Amino acid sequence: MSLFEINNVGKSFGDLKVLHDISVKVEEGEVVAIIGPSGSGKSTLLRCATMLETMDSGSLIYLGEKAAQNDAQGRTVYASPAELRRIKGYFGLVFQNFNLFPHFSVLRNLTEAPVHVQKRDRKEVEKEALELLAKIGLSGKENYYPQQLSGGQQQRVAIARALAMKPKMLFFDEPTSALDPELTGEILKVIRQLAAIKMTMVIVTHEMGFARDVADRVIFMDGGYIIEEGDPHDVISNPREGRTKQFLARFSDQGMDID
Amino acid sequence: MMFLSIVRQIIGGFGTTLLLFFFTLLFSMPLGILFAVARMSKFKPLQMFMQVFISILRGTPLMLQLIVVFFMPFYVFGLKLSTGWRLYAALIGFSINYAAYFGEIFRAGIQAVPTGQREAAEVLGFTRMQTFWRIVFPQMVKRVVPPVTNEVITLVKDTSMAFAIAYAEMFTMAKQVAAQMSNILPLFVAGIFYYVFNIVVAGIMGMIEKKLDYFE
Amino acid sequence: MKKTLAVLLAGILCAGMLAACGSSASTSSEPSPAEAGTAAEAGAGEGRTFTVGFDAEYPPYGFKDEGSGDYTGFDLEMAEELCKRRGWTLVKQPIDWDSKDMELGSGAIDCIWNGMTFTGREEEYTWSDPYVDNSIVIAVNADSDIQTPADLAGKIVVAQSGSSALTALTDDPGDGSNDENLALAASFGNLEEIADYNSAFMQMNAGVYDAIAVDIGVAQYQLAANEGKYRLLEQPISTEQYAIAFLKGNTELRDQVQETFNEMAADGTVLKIAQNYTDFNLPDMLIVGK
Repeated sequence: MSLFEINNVGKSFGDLKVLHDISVKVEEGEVVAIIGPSGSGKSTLLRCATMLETMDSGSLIYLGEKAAQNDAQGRTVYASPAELRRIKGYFGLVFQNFNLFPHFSVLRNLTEAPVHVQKRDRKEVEKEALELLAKIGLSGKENYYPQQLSGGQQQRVAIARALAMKPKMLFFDEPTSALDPELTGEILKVIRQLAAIKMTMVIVTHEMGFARDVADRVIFMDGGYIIEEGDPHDVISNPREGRTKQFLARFSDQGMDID
Repeated sequence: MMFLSIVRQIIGGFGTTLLLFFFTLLFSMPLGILFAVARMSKFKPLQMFMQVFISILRGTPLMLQLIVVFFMPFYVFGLKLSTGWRLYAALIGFSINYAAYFGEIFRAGIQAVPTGQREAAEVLGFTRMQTFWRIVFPQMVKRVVPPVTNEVITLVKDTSMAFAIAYAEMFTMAKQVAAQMSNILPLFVAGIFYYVFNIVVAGIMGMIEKKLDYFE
Repeated sequence: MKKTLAVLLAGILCAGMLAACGSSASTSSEPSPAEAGTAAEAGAGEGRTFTVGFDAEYPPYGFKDEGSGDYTGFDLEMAEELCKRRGWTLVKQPIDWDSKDMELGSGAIDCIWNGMTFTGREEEYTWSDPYVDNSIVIAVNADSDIQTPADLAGKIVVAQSGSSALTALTDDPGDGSNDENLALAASFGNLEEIADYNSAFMQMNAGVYDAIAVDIGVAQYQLAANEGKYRLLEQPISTEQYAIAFLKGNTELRDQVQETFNEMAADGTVLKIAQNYTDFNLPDMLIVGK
């Protein structure tokens, strides 16, 4: 049984079809990187997987539990809100723009959901949150407010917030795109640490070098289709498909590091 | 001596003004949140109804609304009116009218909270109510303090309209004292009361604004 | 914490609305004291409340007492005595004069007892017998060059909205009975309306108006309070009578009030109360009980 499965997703915005019959499976402990040009549908796929967008067709399954499946007409039907809320506990999402809660302290950003959604003991949650902050190098910042932190620190808090829910897997939506180049390193380091402890992750990213080093598998998307999928060294260093080559060439043209 | 006598008589009316002011705020703010939420409802008929309702409340004189509320039980339902009803009618009229204004301010404040905040809460598994009260509401409050301050100050002065339904608040008292003394001074004394009261109100709102400065 | 606060606020709101609705309902179903004071139950007899509507900016008939801060005046003192004799509880309800008919019609007040002009409004209300004869006069600044009504040609004259003075200058019954005053009003530069006479006098003193058309009682009060500032033209523009107004058709309550009023006139109480207002010439203006 896969940890995560999304099958035959179709999604349109008005007349524009942004996802064509996409299927992705992720096994426990696997790190999958999704790359592709903007408008390729990779972010939409991530939003469908995290239920921020509803799918027009296709099914969504976490640990064998169906969050959404097709009806007889091939249209997606979602499970009940309560069921979906429970399934949401299996995964966490890290946003491009962090989306920390500005009116909560760093500590409360981490504890709010475990305490009020998972109804866990506040003392215990706070203790774990402080340990998490220590692991990402933010000890002593627990009483700061998000606006008092740098972008890189905020994104690390956002990762810790997702981890505080003890998810089975994490999704990252271009986690370094909103950061200055010199700050991306600290985020990539945290993700590497997570990979080292076998955290299951799906990462939408433009960091080709990072994707190649960290991912077990890379998916290249373009125009709402999966063009190429496989071992990162194959896909990024020796792409088979023309469009993949074209896309990666643009990156090296711009002097971006893909080694 | 005369000045003291004026102040003493006007203070009597100040209590009724304060009562009207305080309870109007107490009722109109939560009601305003309800209005805002109903106005943004995905259920079209409710949304349309609220749009028209708020537009009427904002587009017709408050004095007329007070008269409608006060006399409606008699003219529509044939109920006899009691003297005690004047206060309740004033409170209902004022609360609903101000809820319309607060509702529109709150709606703008809610819509100004970035979508990402709601999405973050949704992914973390918060219910709609939790998302509203824990995430959206506190951020909205910060955004609406300045326009709400404006409305609150206007309310202090608007309380004088309650006399349309013979609820004798401070300005009515001042006019009565002016008539009794055949002198304009009581009106100025009332003006001073309103002004000082508003300085206090503005000060309190300023403190609230400062208290919310800790986040963007 | 914030949630608790919000829930609390919402709760208070609901409670407030319920209380308000409850109060409105109780005006019809439960026999509360407030309800007993409505015109419809005039026959309730002893123990009922008697709600008198009046304009609290209308001395000497109804105004705020400087010392006690309570509402008093000739009419209100009479109402107090009348209620004492009948065993009723008096409620003095200051009203917005422009809403007096709605107040009376809805039963929010039982009567208007406030130097209310009977003359010309005979058919609009059920009236007590008239008890005061008043005239409408013209007040001007003491140093004004206006001496007779004819001098008002081209001048700016003001009267209170809805007042009998304004009615006297604008009402056209169609039978020619008021043509003289209409012609007089037509000769004015302008006839303006104002919310209350106190402002009218202040504004005339400030030069906004040239003259004020006003009931003599009010005029006397202003003259006494501002010695040397104003004077009256000798020739009144009309004479009129005051009575207590009840909702049209409410003869039952009117008869009860009239009965006690007659007793008070017969035993000299009316005159005695009027003598509290000698400054306003009230004893001279009485029609009854002299």
